Amino acid sequence: MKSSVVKMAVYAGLLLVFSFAAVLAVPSSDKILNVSDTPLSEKKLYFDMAQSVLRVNDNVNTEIFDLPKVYVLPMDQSPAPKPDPSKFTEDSYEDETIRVKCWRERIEYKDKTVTANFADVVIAHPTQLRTAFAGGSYGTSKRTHASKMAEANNAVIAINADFYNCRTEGLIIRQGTLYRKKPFGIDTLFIDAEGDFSVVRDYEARNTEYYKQHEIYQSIVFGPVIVEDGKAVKKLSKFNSIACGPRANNPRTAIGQIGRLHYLICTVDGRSDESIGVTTNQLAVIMADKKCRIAYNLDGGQSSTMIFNNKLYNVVSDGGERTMTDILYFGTSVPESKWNS
Amino acid sequence: MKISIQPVVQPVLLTVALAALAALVSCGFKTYNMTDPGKPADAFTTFYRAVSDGDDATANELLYNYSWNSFKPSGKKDGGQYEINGVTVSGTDAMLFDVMLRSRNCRVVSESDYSRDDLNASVTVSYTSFDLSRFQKDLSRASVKAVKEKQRSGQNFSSAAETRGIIDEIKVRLLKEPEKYYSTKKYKVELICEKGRWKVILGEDFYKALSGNTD
Repeated sequence: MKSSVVKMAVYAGLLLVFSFAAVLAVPSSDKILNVSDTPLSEKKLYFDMAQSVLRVNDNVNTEIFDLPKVYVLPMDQSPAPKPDPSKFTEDSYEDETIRVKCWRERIEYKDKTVTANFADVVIAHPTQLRTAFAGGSYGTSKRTHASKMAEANNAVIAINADFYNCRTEGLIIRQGTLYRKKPFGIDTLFIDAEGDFSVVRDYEARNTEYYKQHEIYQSIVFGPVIVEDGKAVKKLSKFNSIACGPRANNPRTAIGQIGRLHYLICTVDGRSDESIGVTTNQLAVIMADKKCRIAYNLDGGQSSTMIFNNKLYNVVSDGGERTMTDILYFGTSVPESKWNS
Repeated sequence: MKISIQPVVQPVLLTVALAALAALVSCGFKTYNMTDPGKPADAFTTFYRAVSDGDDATANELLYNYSWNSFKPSGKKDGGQYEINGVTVSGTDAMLFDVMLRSRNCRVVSESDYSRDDLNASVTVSYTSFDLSRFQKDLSRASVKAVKEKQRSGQNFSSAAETRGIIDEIKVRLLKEPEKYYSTKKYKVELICEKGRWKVILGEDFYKALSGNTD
């Protein structure tokens, strides 16, 4: 009897322990924990650090290759590379080194309404703002149409310049070469190696050594300066003797700088019922209104010509294009071999 | 009342009971292991030291949710370059890698309340490291500017090799003052008590900081 009770107690105790064990044998963390990062994968700290370091160069290189490509053109009388015909629209051209947008506006005054033709130009490098002579070199008496000069030089857009051989004075620097140094008492526009405009005013022009102190790519002698520091100049300097009546309504051409390598060119149609033309003061206001920091009056009248994609963009007065001696133009710098790259 | 158990059944019952006891000892008792798991902060510190030293065995023992193979770099002294699991880091990249290694500093700033019976704890750590992301931004900005200037003088860059010199030069200049890129941030690191030891649950944020991940 006694033995049976003892055995019973032992078995009861063991069963109790068994019950506890059944409960406790379940892994406790599985019941309670909620760990999201459960997949067992291998961490390779120093390997991952090395990859991070190597990725720095890749990322910086990517940023560099995303930059628009810049090609530098020679500063001589050679033409710009041919623009890619597929990049032209009716009124624009854009590749990785130049963006040109042309448009026309009707501008109303109290006594007239005129047509102004504009081109907003952004280039990648200063050498894309170029000049060309009729006949391809300085000093010839040859004259030719602006459209022919534009085509010969692969201009995306071109305008008449200062008709340099209509006078014997002035400081003539073109494509970085000094051709004539006879100081002249009118405003001179300088375009430097950064593509920035500056003007030497009339009284200074007689004795200036300005061009020696700056790396000048182009000088234009016509004037006057019509916008300075973003404001239209009210009291204009003395006019070039060949300028057509500054206070009269006439066709006009101007070039201005808006920002770094960002320019505006403008021709105003004139001498027609449709558009009689503007005074030089009115041209100044037009260029200032278009946010030019500095703007300069070029030869006007029948010379006033704007060529886009080898075609006349403005209406030239007095029966059409005249022959002239020089143009200012903007070209692409993308070599033809890179058109599809 | 007399309960009689057949002599044949008695050994069976005894075997079952002993098996239950064995199961209790091997499985259930571990939760109530009287071994002190120590402080979570100490466990983290040991883990971090193992990580820094490339002591993979210790790091693995103290890591809960990942296996750890740090691939500690080798070869720096001989060739001025690191070899890491087949990847070579040399030149200015090795300089940058050096700076990253030197910049690392980690300390526990606080520890959550925990008790022996709690299975979870956390520590807040202050981790100082080289901010690779900020460095990359400065390097990019300076390199792009330098490349633009050189493009204006007629140089064209059409391959990574052509820009490598510029990037290297600027990298060396920036690394003269590496402290400018040191960054200290706080991270909450969870720990779990398993087999009587605190183990670190490695969160992605903290791992990114450890590996200098800039993505």
